[in-house]
Amino acid sequence: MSTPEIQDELQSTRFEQRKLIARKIDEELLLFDEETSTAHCLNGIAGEMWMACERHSSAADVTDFLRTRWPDIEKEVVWASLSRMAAAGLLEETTGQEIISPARRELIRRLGFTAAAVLPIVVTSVLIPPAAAAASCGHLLAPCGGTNPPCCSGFHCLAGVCEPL
Amino acid sequence: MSPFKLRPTSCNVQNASELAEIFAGSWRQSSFRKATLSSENLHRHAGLIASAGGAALTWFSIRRYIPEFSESVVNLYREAYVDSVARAAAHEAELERISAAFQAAGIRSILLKGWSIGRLYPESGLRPSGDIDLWIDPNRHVRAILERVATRRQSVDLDHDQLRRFENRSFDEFYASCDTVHLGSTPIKVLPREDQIRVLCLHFLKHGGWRPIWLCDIAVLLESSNAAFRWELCLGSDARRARWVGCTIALARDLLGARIPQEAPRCVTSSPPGWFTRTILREWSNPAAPNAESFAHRCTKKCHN
Repeated sequence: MSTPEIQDELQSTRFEQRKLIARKIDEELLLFDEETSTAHCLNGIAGEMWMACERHSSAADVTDFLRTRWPDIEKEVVWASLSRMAAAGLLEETTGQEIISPARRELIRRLGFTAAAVLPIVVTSVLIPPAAAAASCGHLLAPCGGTNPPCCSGFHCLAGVCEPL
Repeated sequence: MSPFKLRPTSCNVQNASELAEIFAGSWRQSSFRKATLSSENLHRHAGLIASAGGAALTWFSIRRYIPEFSESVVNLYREAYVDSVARAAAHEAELERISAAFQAAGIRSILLKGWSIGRLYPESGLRPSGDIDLWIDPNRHVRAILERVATRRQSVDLDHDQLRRFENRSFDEFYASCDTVHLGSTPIKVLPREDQIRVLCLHFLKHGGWRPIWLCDIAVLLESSNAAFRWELCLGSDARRARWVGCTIALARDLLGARIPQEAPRCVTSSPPGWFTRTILREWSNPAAPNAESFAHRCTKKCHN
C-alpha cells in the first residue's frame, strides 16, 4: 500500500473542521449542523480525529496526534476515516493536486475500499426537527403555514411568518 | 428515599406519583439507583416522561447503571438525551447570536427561563430547550435586528404578559438587579434567583402545572441558591401571590424532594393544600396537550369554596 502516490496523498490532502457546534457527551463527540438540523455522534477515536483537524491537517499530522493514545494506528486508516467524515459533511477536504491521475484515483479507491472494512470510526447521524416545528405555536417571526405550527395568540400568519396582529 | 408521601386515589394519579418518584432528585448525581428506576417503569412511563420534558434527565439518572437496564430502554433514553443535547446546542448558539446583536445595537435585554435555568443543571441539554424568552427594553424596537440575525430555527418570545400582570417593578429596576452570566464570550443578563423562582412559579401555575420539568427547574434553582437567599424578594409584596409561590415551592419539595434554602417562611414550610397536589398529579398523568383551562376552572372553584 505504501506506493509513492498514496504517500503523497497522505501528505497533500488536508482536512479541516466544518463550522459545526461541538459538544462532548460521555465518551463521544456530538456535532450539530445548524444548516441541516442534523446531529452526528462520533465515537471516541472519530471525535479525536475531528478535533485534530482544527487547522488544515493532513492524515499524517492526525496520525501523529492519535498515536499518543492509539500507537498502532496506520496513516492509511486515518486517511480513509477522514475522507469518510469529509463525505459525511463533517470536514472540509482540500488537495494540493489539481488533477488526479486515473492510476492514482484507482489506488485511492482501492485504499478506501480496503480500509472501509476495518475503520475504527463510528458516526451515527440523526435528523433533529427544528425547535419551531416542535413548539405548540409560533411567536414573532416564527415560520407558519404548511406543516408549521399555527401562530400564538397576538400574532397572525403573514407571508409565511408570524406577525403581530 | 423519595420524600413523596401522597396516597394516590386512581390509576392515573398512581402513574403521576411514579413519575414524581422517577424525577425526584434526578438533577443530582446520585450514588445509588432508586428502586423506581427500573426497565419496567421506564418502559411503561416512556410517553409520560417524554411529554414531561424529562427524558434526557432520566438518561442522566440511569446512565451510570446501564447494565441494569434493558437494551431498548437504554437506546430510547440515550436517543432522547442526544436529541436534547443537540437542541440545547442550537438554542445556545442562537441565543448567543441574538444577544450579541442586541448588545452591539445598545439594546438591553433580560433572559427569562430557558438557558438561564438550563445552565444550572449539571450538564447542558438535561432540560428541553423551548423558546428563547427575552424581556427587551420596552423603549426599543428589535424587529429589524431579529430579522437580520435570527435563523428562525428557534422561536423567540418577546411578549411576557405574566410580567405585566404580576410584577410591579419596571424593566429598568429589574435590569439594575440582574446578574451577568456568560454564554461563550457573550454576557447575558439573568434575573436574580429569587426573582427567577417567583417568575417560574407563576409560569408553572399559569400553564396549569402540566409539565413536571418546570417543577424540576424550580427545584434546581432552589438548590443552587446560597445562604443569602432573600425570601421576601422571592415571595414578593402581594400576600396572595406570595401564597401561590410558597405553595409551588412546597410542592417541589413534597413531590420532587427539592431542598429549600434555610429560614423559609411558613407559607413555604407548610404542606400545600391536598387539592392542589392532586390537581397537579392529574395534569401530570395526562400526556396529551396542556390542560390549563380545566386546571384554572378547578382552581377557581376551590378558591371560591
